[in-house]
Amino acid sequence: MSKILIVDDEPNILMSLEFLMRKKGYEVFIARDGAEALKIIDSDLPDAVILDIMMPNVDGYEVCQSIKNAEDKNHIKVIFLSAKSKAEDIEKGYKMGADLYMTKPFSTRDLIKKVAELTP
Amino acid sequence: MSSWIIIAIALGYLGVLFLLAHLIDRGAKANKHYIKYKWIYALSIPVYCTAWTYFGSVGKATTDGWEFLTIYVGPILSMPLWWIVVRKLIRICESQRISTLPDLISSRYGKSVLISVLASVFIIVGIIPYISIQLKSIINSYEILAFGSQTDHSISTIFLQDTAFYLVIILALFIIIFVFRSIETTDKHYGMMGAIAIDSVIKLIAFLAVGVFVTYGLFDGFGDILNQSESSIKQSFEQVSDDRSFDWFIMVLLSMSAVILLPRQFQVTVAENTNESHIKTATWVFPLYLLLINIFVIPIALGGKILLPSNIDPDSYVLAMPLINGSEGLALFTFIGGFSAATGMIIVSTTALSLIATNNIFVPLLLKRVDNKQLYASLPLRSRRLAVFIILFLAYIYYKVVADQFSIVSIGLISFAAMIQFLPAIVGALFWKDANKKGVLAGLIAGFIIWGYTLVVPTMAEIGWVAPSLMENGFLGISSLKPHSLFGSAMSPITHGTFWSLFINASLFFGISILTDQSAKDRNMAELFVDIFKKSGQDGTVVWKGRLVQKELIKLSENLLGKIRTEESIKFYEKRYGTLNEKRVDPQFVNFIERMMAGAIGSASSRVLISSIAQEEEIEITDVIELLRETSEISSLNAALTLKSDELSKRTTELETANERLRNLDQEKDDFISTVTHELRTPLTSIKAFVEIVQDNPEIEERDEFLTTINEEIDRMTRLINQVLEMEKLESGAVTIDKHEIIPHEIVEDSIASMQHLLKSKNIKLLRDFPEELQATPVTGDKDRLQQVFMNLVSNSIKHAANEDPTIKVEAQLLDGKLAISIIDNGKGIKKENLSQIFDKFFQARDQTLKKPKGTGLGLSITKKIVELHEGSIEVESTWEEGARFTVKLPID
Repeated sequence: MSKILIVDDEPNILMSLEFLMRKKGYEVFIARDGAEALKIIDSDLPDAVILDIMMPNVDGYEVCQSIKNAEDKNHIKVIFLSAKSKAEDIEKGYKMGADLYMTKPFSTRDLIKKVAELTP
Repeated sequence: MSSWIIIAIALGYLGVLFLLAHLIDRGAKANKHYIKYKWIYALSIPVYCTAWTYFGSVGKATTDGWEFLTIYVGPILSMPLWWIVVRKLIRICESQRISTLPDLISSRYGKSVLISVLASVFIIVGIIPYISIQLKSIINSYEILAFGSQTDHSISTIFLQDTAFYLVIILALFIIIFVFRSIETTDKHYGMMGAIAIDSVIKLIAFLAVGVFVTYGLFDGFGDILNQSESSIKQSFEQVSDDRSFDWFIMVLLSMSAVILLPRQFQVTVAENTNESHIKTATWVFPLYLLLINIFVIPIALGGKILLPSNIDPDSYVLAMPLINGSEGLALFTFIGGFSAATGMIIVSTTALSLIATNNIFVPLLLKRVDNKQLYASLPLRSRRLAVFIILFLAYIYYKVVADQFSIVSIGLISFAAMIQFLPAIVGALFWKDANKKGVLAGLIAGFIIWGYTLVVPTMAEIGWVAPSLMENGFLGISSLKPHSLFGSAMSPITHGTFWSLFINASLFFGISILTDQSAKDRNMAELFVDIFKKSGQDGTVVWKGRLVQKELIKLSENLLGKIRTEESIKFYEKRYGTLNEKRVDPQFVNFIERMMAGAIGSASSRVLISSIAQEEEIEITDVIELLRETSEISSLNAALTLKSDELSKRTTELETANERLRNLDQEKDDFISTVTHELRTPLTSIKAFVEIVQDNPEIEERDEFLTTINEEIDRMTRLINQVLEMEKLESGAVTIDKHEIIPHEIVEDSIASMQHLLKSKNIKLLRDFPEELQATPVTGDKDRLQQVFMNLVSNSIKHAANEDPTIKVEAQLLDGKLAISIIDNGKGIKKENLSQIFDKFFQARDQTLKKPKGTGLGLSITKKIVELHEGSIEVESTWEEGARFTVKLPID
């Protein structure tokens, strides 16, 4: 079963995503900020990361960059899930190597579908 | 002392002086930074202190007590006027290319050759004796040093057997080499100025050295000298008799005008000035110099009376004192001091007089006789050099024949009295537009006749050139015409002569100026002179009517100034006023060339030259008035335009600032909106997610929990929307506070009470330090709003209190007449770099390094706004890891 890491600093969003992913049968890890996320990525090597951008300490862009720049990790799929909805923010996300960029508020149904596509 | 040593040292001194003058001249022309011309300028003005000061003051003090000081009091008193008078003179001379006093006067009064020549003759006659007494003092001091006493310098030893003759030759060479190198008289003579400044320093140091030697070497200070002095001498200092007061007044007036009008003073202060601001330096350096050089006059005078035999001339005490106990070195230094005082005066005076003689007598008279075609460029320079020799020669002859009979002071004062005759004309030139040529001519002629009759004739009588009966019985035996008591008046000779000559001179000048009409030429220049500060930059107000051929004008200028100089001048003119039109001669160009030539040969000569090649029409007074009207209209239009454009640029700046502010506000608004929408998206995201979860999974056990969360998130959005609206209201100023007398203590307690359940559930310890005497203290304000403030602060502190042993403290005290209430928590605190931004809107939200707030990010901004509406203030103090203290200060009525 695929491993999914969910990173967000908003407890309720984290709660809803965790519920959704578990329901679909993924092995779920959660992190409340970028630094925590990097640790889990190192130790548990998830298949995909659902990543918020605006977070304390290390932000989502940086997390994405360190995933995509590491040879042993760049296969990890990165899905940005952010309230930043401006075109330039989205463009930046893809430039960092993201596989998908979804804006908040998001459709849970869409997200489930996309995650499933990315983690066959 | 060997006379050869003295001569060698004097020559050595001159040699060093010449060398330094040369270096300063080169340095100044190359614009070297080490040449501080303002100091050279300020130190050249003490050329006022000649051998008269150096030797004569002591002599005068031995006979007349304090009176020697009067000629220094005048200049010192005149200093405050310099910024007005001297600056105006400098400005006029610069713009009209004037370099001498007669030039200035003839320029203002119709460019009259008659005035120019008369004034010049008067000045030369008045000043040559003054130069000759400087020669005398040099020779006297040399002889005292060399032979112990003065010898007879009668006509028998003249020329080649005479030291003075060689001295004259050397000084003449100096002037020719260092001063008259260029044809342009308005060029600055840096070398000469540097030499004079050095002279000033040397003579001051030397005089102070003698003073210290006498006072502290020969005696034990001022007191000791006074104790040893005979009472008869002391009396002249202790008692100042009232009947001298008019004499003193005249002395002060004489010296006041002399310090500007004497040719050497006019030369250094006006003609050699390069920057008007240097006057400011001079106005404190010069008075200070005068004070210093007079400090030891009385000690030397009294000391000399005590120690020196009575047959020694008091004028030579300065030199005799070091000699009485054999201090030859000091005596030699003293000699050099006096030598520099005298040579400085001779150099500058001769320079000024030869400029006057050439520009104002020789050239204009020559031009009346010869065709201008015979002019050539080196003529003015050659005649100036010749004039140097003639003037020094005349001074030498005067010294040989007459000067020996009189003291330095008496001859100096007669020169002063000659120069004060120019005072009315100068004051009129600077300040009185109605003064005219006829008034000046009448005043000057009368003034000089009376000056000659009352002051010069008596000296001639003394040496036997005039029959003594004139002195006793008056002219033609009329007793009211006695030279020393005109109309039976009884005054001391110098006061008498000054008073009558100046009185008649001024009366005629003012009277005739008022009674007769002014010529157009006069009016022209009067406007230019009196209003020089208003007209700076536009020197074309002069009317000229006539016809001439432009080529001839340029040819004339080439003859006089040389081809290169003329071409440069024309280039300058075209740059400033536009290209010359070959067909038509612009009056402005005629005036320009006239001024250029005036710089070389003086304004009267230049005028003569121009009229020699032109068919001039007589200008009418109406022409002048018309032109003045036009220029004044133009200048008032100009002024209005300047005002408008100033206003415009002010408005533009204001607009730019307003724009900038608007842009900033706009940016702020944009930021605010994007932050608000972002903050709204977060709860919206949760709500949408949970709603979809519950929809898709109707049977899950977490259903209730999720619905509660949805509800909470909706509340959060509502709170945010409310606070955004409230912030808007507060910022737009739409909120007014109800003003009632309220008790803050009660409000704080109410706020705490409403949070009781939160405090309990989090197990927070609450401490109170609200002094009893403050519990009833009222303030004026809005109860609900202030409650909002304290609830916000208390709930913030609950949120941030430490996890372990959470504590909140409420404190109150009086600070600077304000009630200060603090809410303190023991939580993490705020980092120092964030303290200043803590009250900014959405500060926490914007700063990603902080944990996201549980609140909206607007609470503290709103709190601050409310406190400020109460004319209070809110502050935060915090140390990281040690909690935070928020203090609200409210004014007490």
